[in-house]
Amino acid sequence: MATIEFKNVDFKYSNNSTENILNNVSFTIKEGEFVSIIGGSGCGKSTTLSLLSGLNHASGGSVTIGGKAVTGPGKDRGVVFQHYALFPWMRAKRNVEFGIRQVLKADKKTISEKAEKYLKLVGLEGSEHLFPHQLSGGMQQRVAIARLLAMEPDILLMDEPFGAIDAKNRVALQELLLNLLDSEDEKKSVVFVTHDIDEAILLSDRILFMRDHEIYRDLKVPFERPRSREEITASDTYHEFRRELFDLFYDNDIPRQDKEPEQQKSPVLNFGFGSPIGAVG
Amino acid sequence: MKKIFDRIYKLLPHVLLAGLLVSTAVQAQFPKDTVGYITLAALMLAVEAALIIRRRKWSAYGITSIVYGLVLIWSLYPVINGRESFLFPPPQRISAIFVSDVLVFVKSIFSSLWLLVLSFVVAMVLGIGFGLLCGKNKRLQNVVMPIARVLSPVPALIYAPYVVAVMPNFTAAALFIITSGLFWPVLINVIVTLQRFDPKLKDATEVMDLGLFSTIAHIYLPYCMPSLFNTLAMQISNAFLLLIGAELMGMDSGLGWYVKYNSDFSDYVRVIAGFIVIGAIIALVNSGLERVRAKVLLWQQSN
Repeated sequence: MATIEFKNVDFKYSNNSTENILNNVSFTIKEGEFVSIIGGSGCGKSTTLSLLSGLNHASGGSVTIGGKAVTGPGKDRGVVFQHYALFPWMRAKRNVEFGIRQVLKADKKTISEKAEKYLKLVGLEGSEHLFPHQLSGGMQQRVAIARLLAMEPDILLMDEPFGAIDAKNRVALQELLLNLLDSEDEKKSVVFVTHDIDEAILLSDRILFMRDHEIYRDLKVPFERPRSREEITASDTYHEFRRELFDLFYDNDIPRQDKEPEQQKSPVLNFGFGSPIGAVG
Repeated sequence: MKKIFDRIYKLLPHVLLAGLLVSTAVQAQFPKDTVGYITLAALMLAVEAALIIRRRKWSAYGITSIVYGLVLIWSLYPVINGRESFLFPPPQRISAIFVSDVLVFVKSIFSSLWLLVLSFVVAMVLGIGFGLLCGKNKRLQNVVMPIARVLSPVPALIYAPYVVAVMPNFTAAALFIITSGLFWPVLINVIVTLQRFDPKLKDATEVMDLGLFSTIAHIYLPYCMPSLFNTLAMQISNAFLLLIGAELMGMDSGLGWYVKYNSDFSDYVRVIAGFIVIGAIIALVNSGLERVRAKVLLWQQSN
């Protein structure tokens, strides 16, 4: 396991482009830390994650893991996307086994048992033989999470993994992830992109708030682990912290006269909360 | 009203069959046509058996009615025409050929299918293999695609006379022609499918950091399968066309040869029998392909 470091990272899609998708982004994530990146649409959250996964490359600055520059995808990192990126021609179990096979040279039985173990962990016992199209969105994402965990990468990268899932299943998956990560002996580093404030507070140790292609604030989540949703949401600290994030989202931390007229008109439309639990009145 | 229509619809094939058997029996010249008549009756009863097996399928009645109806009209042609036609022999005469020429047919079917299967396998291995490599390698793709677009539209039979002159024998020439006719569509299909590779799966594949073999065997190949099967279904008829064309060039066995050889003697009874056997073989190959497709593409939503 190793420290993740972004140092003065810029990113643009082509050399001719004048617009930076990321602008001088710097942050460090320690081993075993769970960090959420939140912010409005188009602020650069997913791009940050794509640089870390190796799918994109920084135009300036450096992205390193354990001091080594990220030059492409690697087996030390596992990614879960918002879309359910399962291979449609592989049954649920085979999807997980295929992932395991990429990182573990072992006999069929060992791999099969491992796949079954992780599918059971995500509550998919009995659905191993189903093809992705036979699974609901939530179930597909569970398989993707099972595959990610079964590959045992040091770093988990999750790009709005619960973004396309209905509210009820989203809560269930958040709990599942929380329990799985808390129960692991060796804590994994997690970088988690989300739109959902409550999700970020519940799951993270730190929250990076992005605005205008930059890291605008780096906030420590004021709750110890292990956590329970009921306990933390009942506390005043939770509500204060949530309000702080909420204000950041709605630019309430900026004096009125500095705001752009468009943002004043309809702030709610500037970003979308994924579920009712994220929407605050 | 609907019930009456339903009854008539379900009764129609049986009535047509009875009419067909009576019509051919009346016209047949026994004992000369005995074998032909019995064979025709046996074939029609086999169709009837298939209908009984699939009696729950509504379309089965319509299909058998059409089959019986066509054979009935065919059998009535001499009555309409006033005499038996040399170019349009009655069905019992043709079905007699299935018995008398059974050994020739078996030999021809094996000869044709051997040529077809061998060229099919070679074209598939080369087309899919090369296509997958090009799919993975953009530079190779940029070199291959313009060449493929120029060469692929040239019908393989056009260069048949030249291939016959160059190749050591007719079998090699036929193999080359069928293979090259199938190779280009398969190659282009694989490349074009991979050019449109689903970006979501592309991301998922890339982050898994797969090796070349794994990417090709476990991701690209299954991804190409649906469109490949569609191409194959279309190319089966093309392959038979090439096969028959190749056999016409100078082979001494095969279904194409059988038709050509007998048409040289104006033996249209055998020529039509040959058509029917070719049609049956294509239908069988197509249905086999369909079964394989259903198994291989079990993962598709439509299956």
